[in-house]
Parts: sequence; structure tokens; C-alpha cells
Amino acid sequence: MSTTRRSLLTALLAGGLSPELMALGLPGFAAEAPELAPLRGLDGEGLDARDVAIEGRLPAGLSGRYFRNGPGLMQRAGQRYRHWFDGDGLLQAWTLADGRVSHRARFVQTQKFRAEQDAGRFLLPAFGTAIAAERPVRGPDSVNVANTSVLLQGDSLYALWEGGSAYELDPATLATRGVKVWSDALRGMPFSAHPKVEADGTVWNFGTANGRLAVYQIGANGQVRRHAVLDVQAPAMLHDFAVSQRHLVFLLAPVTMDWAAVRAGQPMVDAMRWGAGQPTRVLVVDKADFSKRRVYEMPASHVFHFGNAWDDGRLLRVDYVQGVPLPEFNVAAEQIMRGQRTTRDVSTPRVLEIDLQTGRLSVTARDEAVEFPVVDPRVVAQRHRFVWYPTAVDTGVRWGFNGLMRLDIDSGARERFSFGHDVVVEEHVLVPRPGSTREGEGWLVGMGYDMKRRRSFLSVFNAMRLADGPLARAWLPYAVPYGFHGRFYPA
Amino acid sequence: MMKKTLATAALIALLPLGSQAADVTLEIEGLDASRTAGAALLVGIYTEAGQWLNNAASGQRFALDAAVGGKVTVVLKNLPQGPLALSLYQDANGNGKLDTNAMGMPTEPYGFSNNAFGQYGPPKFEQAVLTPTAGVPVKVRLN
Repeated sequence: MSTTRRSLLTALLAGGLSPELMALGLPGFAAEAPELAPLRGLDGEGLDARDVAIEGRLPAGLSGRYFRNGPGLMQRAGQRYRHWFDGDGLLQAWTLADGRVSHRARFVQTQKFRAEQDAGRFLLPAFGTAIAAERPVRGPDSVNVANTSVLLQGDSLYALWEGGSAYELDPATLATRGVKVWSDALRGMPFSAHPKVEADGTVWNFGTANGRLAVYQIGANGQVRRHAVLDVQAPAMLHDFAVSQRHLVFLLAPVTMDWAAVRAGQPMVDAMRWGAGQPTRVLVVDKADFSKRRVYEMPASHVFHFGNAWDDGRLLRVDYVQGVPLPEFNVAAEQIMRGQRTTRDVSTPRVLEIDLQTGRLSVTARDEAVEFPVVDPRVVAQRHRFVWYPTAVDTGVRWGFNGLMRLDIDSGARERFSFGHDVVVEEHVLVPRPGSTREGEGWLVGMGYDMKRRRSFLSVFNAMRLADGPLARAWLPYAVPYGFHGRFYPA
Repeated sequence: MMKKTLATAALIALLPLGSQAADVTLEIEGLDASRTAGAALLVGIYTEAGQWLNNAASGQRFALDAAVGGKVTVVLKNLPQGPLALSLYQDANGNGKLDTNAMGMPTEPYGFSNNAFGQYGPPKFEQAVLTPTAGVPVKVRLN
């Protein structure tokens, strides 16, 4: 027996899981890392659960729909995607009404998904998996898996990816309507999975292709107000950005694409080159005039996610989570797809301050392992104080987060809660309490997976009292593949 | 090289049949059904590998108002004799060109005879070339 296996057994026994149960139940995939079991993925069918069992008490004022997206299908005909980001988008809808909870999940019927579902095997290349194209690849939408996040506008629910169009779905049934065309000029343009929605409903978003950066301003009614394409030598991968009162803020990491390697058959992710000696450029674009922009430089750093940004015209403050350099992240994202624990993949909080007059940058770093930062939707592009994250508290060799953290970025104070060894915590979003006005007054709502019960759950916390533990948990009768991002829309 | 020789041999074998087909029925699917009113199908006909996607031997245009469910059937008339390759697109806004967005990506459905396609680029002439056979429609799916 290997050391890893023995220490795992010890850990499991300490957690109360009997060897008999382990011998009976654990499937081959991720047998030595049960926290990774949900990454096995689904087979392309949807999920439904009505009147989900509730533990604790759901707050009376918490009512609405919580949509989440993530990679849900990982393999076909014995072939498995190599990278976590490759999985086909599984859209989930939790409905909370009158003290009852229901859950539904449907795969986004992308062109790629439909063709491959019919064929029973993969037909097209994926971001991180070299699959010879058996159908024409005409652009990003030919391989769009719509698996990263969601946005609701009126009666349109969007499944968002990074490199291509949004897919539009019916929010009531999760039936796919098709590729979203915001306007004729924006047909087929990349629309990132991290649009920022201001309190008045204004949506800001961006997309990158071939070194160009497109920026969009869209009204709450879905009408495109402004868009522009900026020649800024955008990196081969740009996942998120931040919006303040006056600016759009991008961290342009030194990532380039080796197209010769792609043409020679390498998957995109292996053809990305990380320029460790080059800077990460901080691009600040004037919201009122996209042609007004400034570029600052900081040491090479890789960032997936931002919390928020605010500025007073002189000082611009941005908070984000800094990850390991992209090549190391990709190794980890491939390890977990094989059901193996990662060696080194820790991302930690940062606050960047830019003095807009002197151009001086300063970064404050913290060392908690976090990801998926969220802020109160009422403070997007406004001055904010709190950021919430899933976090890892004494997880040892185990993969994934097991707790939640609220950080006061003004004082540096933090509050945490840990579910312990047996739970993997996913992104939690802040839902304002109806009638409240203060930042943070509300609930933190998200999902998790209990590896002993092998079931996924919805958890609800008082966002300002995380340490009290969850107010309620709604237990699904099944496990759901880990998702990426969601949004809650109050009834 | 081997591939090219084989392709040439196959073409020569088909020539006698092809030389009698002046008109060819073209069955198209994969049109953007939301953009067929006032739109046209533009077909470029190429007979020389050296001219492929540069200089069409001839071109034909068909209104798409009769298209149903993303499909339409048209007849290419007076085709040059012998092997040829087709490049087609749905001119959705009737402006006579294949439109692209600000990132340079085509925004109108297009395709090639034999449903040929390349990896990260257009197909080669040899992939798209065919010799029409009298009475046998040519089917192309646009994407």
C-alpha cells in the first residue's frame, strides 16, 4: 500500500467512513481522492429534484432563482477531456419559493454538444484536449462549450463561455434557444463569462481574440449601448476584469499563443507560452471614452478572478485573487481530471492600489488559499469593503476548498467557517436581504459536495456571521459535477 | 504526392460522365434560417487549383427567399466541363461579400463542395474538387 493510500485511509477512518463502505462504494475514478469524484461527470442527461430535503431553516426572505454553470460532461466513448475547462456546460437552476427548494440541471445544447451527443463521441477539438476535427471549425463558436457562468436579462438566461458567443436559454425550462446575437455588428464576437452588472442594470463585458480586446456596454434592456475593439496585444487568455466608477481594469498577463504548435496538433492550452520575465500589464480604460487608456506594469502574475474595483478619480483600488503561473495551473487542472490530487495550486487574495496621478502601484498580499471572490451586487463598481471567498482551512493533501471566508479589505479582518474534511465548497454568492441597504446585509448562497454522503447541497449563511455556520442546507439526492460561477436572482 | 496522383487518377476516370453534365442540382442545408429574406446564395466555381479561392472561373447568385428550414435547392447552369470545386456562402444581407466581425471572423454561413474543410484554414482545392454526374445532385452543408 502506498504512503498516499495509507494516509488517505487513516484520514477516512478518522472521519468515520468504514473500510467496508469504502470497499463497497468508491468507484474507480478518483478512488484515492474521493473529493474529486464529482469530476467524473455526467453522461449528457439532465437532473431534476423537487422538494429537496432541507436541513435547518431557510430564511423567510430568501426567495428566487439561483443559476449556476460549469463543466458537466467529461468523457465520451472512453475518451476523456484532459482539462477541467473542456467539459460541456451544465446549467443548474435552484428555485427557492415558499420554503421549498427544487433543482434542475440541463446541458447547454451547443452546436458541439448536439453533434457529439448524436455521434456518441467527441468530434471537435477542446481547449485543453487535442481532438482531430471531424467537422469544420469556423471560429470559436464551433467549439463553444458554454460552461463558465450565467447572466439573466428579462426572460433570457445566458450560458457564458470565454472565447465565443453567449448561448441563450429559457430560464424557466433551461431549454437552449441558440447563439445570442447582441447586434449585427457583434455577431460571433467573444463575450466573456465575467460581465459586471452595476446596480442600475448596466452590463459591462469584454472579449478577446487574436490579441484584440473588445469591450461592450449593454443596457439593462439588452440593447448594446457602446462597443469598441482595442488593439492592446491582449494575452491568449483573459478571463475576468474589474469595473470602477470611472474605469475598466484589465490585468494583461504575459501569455501568448504559439499558433504553429496549434496547427501542428497541440491543444490550445499546451500552445500557450508564459513569459515569466515579462510584466503583467495593468490596462485602465476610461468608461466614458474607450480611446482614453493608460497602461502600467507589474511583475508577471496570473489572475483568474476579481472581486471589485473603485476609484475616486485619484486612487484606483482593485481586489483580485492571484493564482500560480498559468503552466502550473494547467498541470493541476489536468491532474484533477485524472482523479489525482494536485501538487501545487494555491491562489491567494491581493489588493492593488494605483495612484492615477503618479502611476505608482502597490500590492497588498495575503496568504489564505481562496478563489471565486464575490462582492455584494449593490457595490459593483462602487466603493466596497467586503469580499467573500471559498477557502481551504487545514485541508492537508486533500484537493479543494472546505470553508468560506469574508475579508474586510479596509481593516484586513477576516471571518471564516470550515465544514471540515469531508466537504468541498464551491462559489457562494451574496444575496441582499430584501429591504436592507448596508453592504453585506444578506445571505451567502452557494453549493458544496459531501464526499461521505456523495451528495451535493445548497448552503445558506448569514453573510455577516459566517462563523455561525450554515442557516440551512438543501440536500440533493445526487452529486453534481463541480461548477464554476452562478448568479442569484431574487423573486 | 501519392495522394495527389491518386486524386488525379480518380478524376480522369470520372471525366467521361462529367463532361455531359452542364447543369447540376445543388442541395444546400445549414443556412441561417433567420436571415434568408432578401439574402442570396453565392457560388464560386473553380476549375484550376492555382486559382482556388482567388479567381473563380465563374460565379452564380441565387435568391434565398424560397429557402425553408435552412435548406434550398438551386440549379447551377452552364457549368464548365470537367472537374470543379465550389465555394459557397449565404450573403445574408445581400451586400455581395462574405462579412466578417471586428475580430475578422466570418459572420455568414459558408461551405465548400464535398463539405471539405481544413484544420485552422480553408480546405485545399484537391479536397473540394468533384466531377458532377448527370442526374446526381451535389449536396453542401454550410456552417
